[in-house]
Amino acid sequence: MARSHANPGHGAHGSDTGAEHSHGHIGQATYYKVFAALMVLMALTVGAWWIEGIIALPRLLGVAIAMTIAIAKTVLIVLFFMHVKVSERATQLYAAAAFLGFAILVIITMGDYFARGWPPPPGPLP
Amino acid sequence: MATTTPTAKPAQPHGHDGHDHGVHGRELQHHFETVQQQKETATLGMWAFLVTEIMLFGGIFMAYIVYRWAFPEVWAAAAHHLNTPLGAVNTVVLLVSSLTVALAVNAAEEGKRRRVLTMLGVTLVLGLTFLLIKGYEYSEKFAHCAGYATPISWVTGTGQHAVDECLVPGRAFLFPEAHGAEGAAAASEHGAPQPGLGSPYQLFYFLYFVATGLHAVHMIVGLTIVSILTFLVWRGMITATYFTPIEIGGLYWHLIDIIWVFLFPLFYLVH
Repeated sequence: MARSHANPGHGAHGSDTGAEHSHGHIGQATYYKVFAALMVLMALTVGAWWIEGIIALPRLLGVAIAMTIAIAKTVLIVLFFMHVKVSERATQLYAAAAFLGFAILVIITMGDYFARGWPPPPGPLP
Repeated sequence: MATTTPTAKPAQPHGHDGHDHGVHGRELQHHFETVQQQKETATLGMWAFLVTEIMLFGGIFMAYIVYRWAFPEVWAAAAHHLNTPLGAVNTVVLLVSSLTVALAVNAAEEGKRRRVLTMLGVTLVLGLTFLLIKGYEYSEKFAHCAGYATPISWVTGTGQHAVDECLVPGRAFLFPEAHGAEGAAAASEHGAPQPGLGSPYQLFYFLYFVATGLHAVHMIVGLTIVSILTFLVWRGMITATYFTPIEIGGLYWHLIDIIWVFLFPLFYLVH
């Protein structure tokens, strides 16, 4: 299971070793950078919403912009804050499976609705 | 996993040599080879739980997708009555708290006990701030149902019948007069806004209260976990060798953050 990281005793790097070889370690500077990126994305999503209130964009485009930004934020949090980038492969697989599972739920449910011609005229999002 | 070790040799120094940890404690339980392996196993277990959490919220998001797709006009009109500035502030609060949790894990990894305590303390304050703001938003909606403009005037009992709307789902639900072209279109399409269970706008607020309510419950659980972690660190039970509780507690906190990252644009930023 722990084949590639069977580096005995390296989990025990004690005191202040700083950012180095140790797998599973992300340096402090990276966390601050990721946080800055999250703040920028946050400003972008509110900004986009504000602009959409002034100029009329297609509604579907607005939703697409907001969701793209939300997914970008999620990827940053999962990879860096949740350490998935430096985790074992099995953990990475589970993390991916969670979102894949949700995608399957959406695709099958919406596929069924569309196949039955629902919703009637007011949808889909204009 | 396939190797079945005979269990009847308690006094034996365990098979894996090359480690200088004499006693098997929580740093390294006897069924793990290395500290690293134990940590990875715990992390994987936590992720298995997080997958079920995503499926739990996934059901709510699925309902949201179906109904927003079906009634985009209702969504556009209804979302205007949520307090977007407060929602934005809460997003920032949660993002900062995610940073402090990440820094707490980082400090724990490096064995800096004082810094871990500071970071967890800041996280607690931020989490409470989030809940306070959320609580204010909720109480605003309930105050409107009672006829008061703000929760404060509700408490002091001044100026009843100031507002004529109730956005809490139920028999008293009353969506205010449709405003602007969007609202008017929605009203003509689905019949004029009507009080009580027949109002189409109720669907949006029902999903809003369920989704943010479940999220708030998770926040309360998260705050409890962070409190326990703070206690563990304070008691010196977390070391640079063994900080798994901080690591997987942090994973839970980040998950709550991710859920909010989606709830915010889906409920507050709708046109």
